[in-house]
Amino acid sequence: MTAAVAPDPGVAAHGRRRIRDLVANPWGKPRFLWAYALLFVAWTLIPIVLAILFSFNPGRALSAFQGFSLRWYIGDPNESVLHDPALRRAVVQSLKLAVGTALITVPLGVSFAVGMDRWKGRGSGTTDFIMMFSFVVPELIVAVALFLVFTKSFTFVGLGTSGQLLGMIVLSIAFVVVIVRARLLSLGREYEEVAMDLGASPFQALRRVLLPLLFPATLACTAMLFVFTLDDFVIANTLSRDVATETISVKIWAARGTPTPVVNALGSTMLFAATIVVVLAYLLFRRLTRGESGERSVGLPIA
Amino acid sequence: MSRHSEFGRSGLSRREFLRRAGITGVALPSLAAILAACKDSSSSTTVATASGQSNPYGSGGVSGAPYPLARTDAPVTWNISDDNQPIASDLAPEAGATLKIFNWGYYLKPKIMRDFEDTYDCKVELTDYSDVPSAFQKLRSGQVDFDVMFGHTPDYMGKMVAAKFLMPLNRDYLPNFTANVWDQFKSPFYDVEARYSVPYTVSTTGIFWRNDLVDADIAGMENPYDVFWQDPPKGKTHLLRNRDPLAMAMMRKGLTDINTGDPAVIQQAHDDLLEVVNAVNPKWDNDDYTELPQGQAWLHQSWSGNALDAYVFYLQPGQGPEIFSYVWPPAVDPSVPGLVGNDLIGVLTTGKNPVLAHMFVDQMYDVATAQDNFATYTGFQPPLTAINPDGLVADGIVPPNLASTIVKEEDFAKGLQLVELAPEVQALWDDAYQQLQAGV
Amino acid sequence: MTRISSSRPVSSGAVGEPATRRTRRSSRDEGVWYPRWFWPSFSAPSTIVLLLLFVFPFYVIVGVAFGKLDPIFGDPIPVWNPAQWDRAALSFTLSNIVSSDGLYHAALIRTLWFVTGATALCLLVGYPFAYFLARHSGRFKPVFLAAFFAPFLISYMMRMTAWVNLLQDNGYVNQVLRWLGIMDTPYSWLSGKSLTVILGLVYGYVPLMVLPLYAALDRIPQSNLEASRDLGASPTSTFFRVTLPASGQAILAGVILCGLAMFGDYFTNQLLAGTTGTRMIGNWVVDSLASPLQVPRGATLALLLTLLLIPPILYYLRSSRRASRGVVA
Repeated sequence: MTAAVAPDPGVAAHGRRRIRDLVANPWGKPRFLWAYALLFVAWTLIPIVLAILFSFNPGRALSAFQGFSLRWYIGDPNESVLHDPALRRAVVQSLKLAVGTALITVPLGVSFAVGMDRWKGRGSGTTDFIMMFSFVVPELIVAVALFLVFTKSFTFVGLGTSGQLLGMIVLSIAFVVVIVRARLLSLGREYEEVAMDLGASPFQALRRVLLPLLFPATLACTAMLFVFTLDDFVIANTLSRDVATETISVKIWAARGTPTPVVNALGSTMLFAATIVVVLAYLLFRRLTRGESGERSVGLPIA
Repeated sequence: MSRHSEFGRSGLSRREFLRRAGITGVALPSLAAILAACKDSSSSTTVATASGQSNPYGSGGVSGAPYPLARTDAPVTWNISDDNQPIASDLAPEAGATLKIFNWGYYLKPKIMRDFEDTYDCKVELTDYSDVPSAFQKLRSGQVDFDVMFGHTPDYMGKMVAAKFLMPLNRDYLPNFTANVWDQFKSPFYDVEARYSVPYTVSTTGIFWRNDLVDADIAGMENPYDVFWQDPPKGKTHLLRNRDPLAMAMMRKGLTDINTGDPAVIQQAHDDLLEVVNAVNPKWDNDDYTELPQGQAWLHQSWSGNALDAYVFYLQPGQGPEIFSYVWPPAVDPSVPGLVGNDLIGVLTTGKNPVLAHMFVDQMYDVATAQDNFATYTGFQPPLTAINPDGLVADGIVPPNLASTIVKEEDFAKGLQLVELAPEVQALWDDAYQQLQAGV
Repeated sequence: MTRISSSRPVSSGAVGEPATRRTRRSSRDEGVWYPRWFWPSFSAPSTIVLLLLFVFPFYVIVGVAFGKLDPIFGDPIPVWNPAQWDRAALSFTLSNIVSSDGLYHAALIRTLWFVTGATALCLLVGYPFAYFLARHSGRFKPVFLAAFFAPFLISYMMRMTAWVNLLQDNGYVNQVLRWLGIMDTPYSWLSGKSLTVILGLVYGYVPLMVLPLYAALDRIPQSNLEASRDLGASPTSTFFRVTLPASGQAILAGVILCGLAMFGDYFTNQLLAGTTGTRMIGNWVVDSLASPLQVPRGATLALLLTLLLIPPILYYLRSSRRASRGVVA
């Protein structure tokens, strides 16, 4: 913040003023905020760092760091992530669900957002409400509802991968919609209008102007959906059928009474997968938005 | 008597029938079943038959449910129906199969499964469940295809057989079982001739504690169960789930009918436990084998196998077995009741690989395998004659101060067993337990 | 629900043709015509998915809640016809919620307390960080963003399990506290303490609070704040009269997102405490699924919970619509 222009009242008065400012508005002085932010980050990350460290423990204990070993990742011939088929399956299942959800939900969500943004007719309000409702309702309620549906009504879907996938898709649509809608809001209608003024049909305008403009947001959604679904617990747990359909989160939960470092190894593996995806997505995103001017929030004026 | 009546719908009312049955001197069902039968028929959801009658599912037992309820003095022989026959003998094991096992978590050594995979060139998958009711619920969903189930208990036999989840066993595939199992399990009361089940492990239910953190001399107490009521460590006292804690409250008062349907008795047990809940806010679990070594619990109502497993599986660095103590009250003072029991292994009809399933079950009776599973992983003792209870300490499998976790054949005569309850009675117990969970 | 006024799509016409029938239209739509079915068809696939897998399941919950039980095994059988509904589960659930020694009463009240406390804490803890991230992180913004985003990459389960390890009696937290001289005897964090559960909820859901706050605070133009200062407001005053109101909608969004998510949480309590004294309403819902006889009660609970949460959801949706009308793109 820029300081108001005022005559210099002398050093002592300056000092008093700084102290007064510090006390009066603790948020105002970056120093305090910096300390706070660093503490916040530490509080958030230290347990995770420690958990990753413990995953390298050679023994079963989790209370202290005992040395370095890859026993729980690949070493132990029975209980490591690599060798225990249940854990391997969990990794595969998590990845399957995450990829499936991301790939299916993003087109659904983008089309919904585009449609809703422009559809001003009857029914749009209700549809919009339902969508937003699915965003805020607790996941447990949706999971319970789908559990009953898949065991009583749509039993052809049943519990297991398809059930889990459908559950995650339903919950994720709203997320994509919210993000894409924000982007649409900032884009405005101008681009398509220009395109159509230049002779494009509505479809062409959509396909060749709007969708490419939406691509960064779409990419961001895909990456974020992948990451969120990777770690989803409630739907995966409630709708799982047997160990083949249990995800990493479910396995970690199942092991809560008997924690061994293999649980940490499992979580670290997932973190590794998620990080790769996010980094790739970020690089791609940077590359794609290189041409755009800085702030996303401002739409370009049309001459 | 071979009469077969339906209650509540037409014909005689229950009271009327029992009165007449009493006059003709027919052996009456237990008090529990009478009380259950006397309830208003509109709230009943079951069709009950007279005791001692054959029933589509089996013969023997007592009435109170659509299937016979087994009692230690009224054994049940389950029928083998036409649409659920045992498999033929001398079949080859399925090739390239995936054998699916349904079991508690951490209750079967992974190496055993990996070795079986190598021997029979198949895959073995284990799905775990957290308690028998939810396991049964999963089977009821009709969407699972497990081959073998471990760890279900005799108090679920009726439901499992009636739902046709269990496949009758073909003894030709189970030579190890026939050769090695304790005599009493060749024809147990809940499954005469062991048609549908074989035992997995035997255990007593007692009290497990850290003697370095709890001062009381629990084993020396007149009534060891009292320790939960006399100033137990706050926040560090845990109890088992479902029926076990209520049964303990009853046994503490000296009652021996722990399968009762008497609402007053159940209510009293609930009230007694509520004192404990209000005093120490306990956790309800069976994770004692990790909690006591970690110090998260100091005093736990436990199964003997878990007590031993704390030593076998989860000892923390720097700890030795001498800090753990376990007591089963009847072993110390026969006048104090205690629970004893076993759980089961069964072949499921939902599975696709019955031959492999039989073979897997049988290898659990191979002495070396069973001993390995017991001594290095689960801590729960298998009822094999070759595993001599008296030799376990000498062989170094069980540390001396945990010798009380060893189960002997004669313990089954000393202890009480939890048996299958009529649905209304089960509902009473469930309600009482739920109220305790809610703290009311 | 009122919406922004706009033009209705006119019957298909070539681009540029003057409209023959038109109602109010905004300047944005001038000169652009789409067939009437064009935009709704975009929304159709998702709408169908939502109808089948979101709206319909609620009716299944209702059907099970008012349904029957299988005579032999006690499995729930849904009943679709309202005339045949059995109200036993509903009356049982209601009476157990309302009366003070009911099964669900204590858990519901406790959940309300936990959620309120944890959400308030999330706001207190998260706002300064969001503020910092938006306005003061300067060239370290990507670093802090990454650090903030990192917990999302890790399973919630894993984060909580990590805390369970740290909070053991002889775990690092107690060791650090002892080293700092704050406490001598180890505090049993995991023995059914409400404080632990609330702190756990805060840890788990604070990212959900920071996210909307950051987005809103990031969007406040620097010029607004400078103008405020130029007009003579002190930093405190600027904060309370410019920044805070501008982030008001985001605060509401964060509170709703966090609060509602916490309402359905049952696993945090199970991991960090798991005793009678910390039982939440989510535990009752999920436990009831595991036992056939109790599924109708659980379904009723889920239904009642949803009804309970509808007012805050409606409020949030209405106010966010109102806010989005006023947003400067």
